[in-house]
Amino acid sequence: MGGSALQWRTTLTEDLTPSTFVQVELSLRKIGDPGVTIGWELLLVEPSADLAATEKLHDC
Amino acid sequence: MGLQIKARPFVGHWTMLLIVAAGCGSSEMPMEPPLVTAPAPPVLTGTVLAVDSFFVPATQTNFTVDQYSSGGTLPPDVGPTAGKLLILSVRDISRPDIVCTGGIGGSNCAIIVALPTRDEGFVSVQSESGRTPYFLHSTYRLEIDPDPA
Repeated sequence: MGGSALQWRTTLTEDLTPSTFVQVELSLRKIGDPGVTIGWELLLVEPSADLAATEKLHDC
Repeated sequence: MGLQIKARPFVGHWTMLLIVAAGCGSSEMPMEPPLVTAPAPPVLTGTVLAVDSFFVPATQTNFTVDQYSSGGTLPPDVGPTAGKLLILSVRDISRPDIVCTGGIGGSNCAIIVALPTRDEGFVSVQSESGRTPYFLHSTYRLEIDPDPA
């Protein structure tokens, strides 16, 4: 998938239950043509990846 | 990629317009002034737990917001997750060449909107203690408490 992703994150305090339903609800609008297809992904990331990315950003 | 759309049109007026979701282009449409939001954190990649998409039709007014409910299923081998980051990544997959980093003035971006009586969205997951909705905040954090609109 392309496009510029925006991400929202939290640190989990519990283990997620396998094979259970994930619901995502978003309030969206798109003014003017064209209509767009919005894709979402739910990701699991090691905390160290966030730290490394933040440090890299600050190095720029 | 499955597609599950349950749009519930909402028509009204609100003053808080928060976040550029994804995708810009050229447009002559009049828009509200860009709002100052928290800088977007760096984009991360990781293990994909669930994925889906839905179509957002174009509107011609500033006063229409649709709520889209979409879903997926966690993998059976999700493994231990406590202490790890849960990230909801949203983008415009119909215009992958478009970059939109924030600010909506004069843009042709799909936007995520906070309604007057509620947050701009949530992701709900199941854990041992029950089902937890994590609400999208303007700080790009997922929080258990809704973002005050």
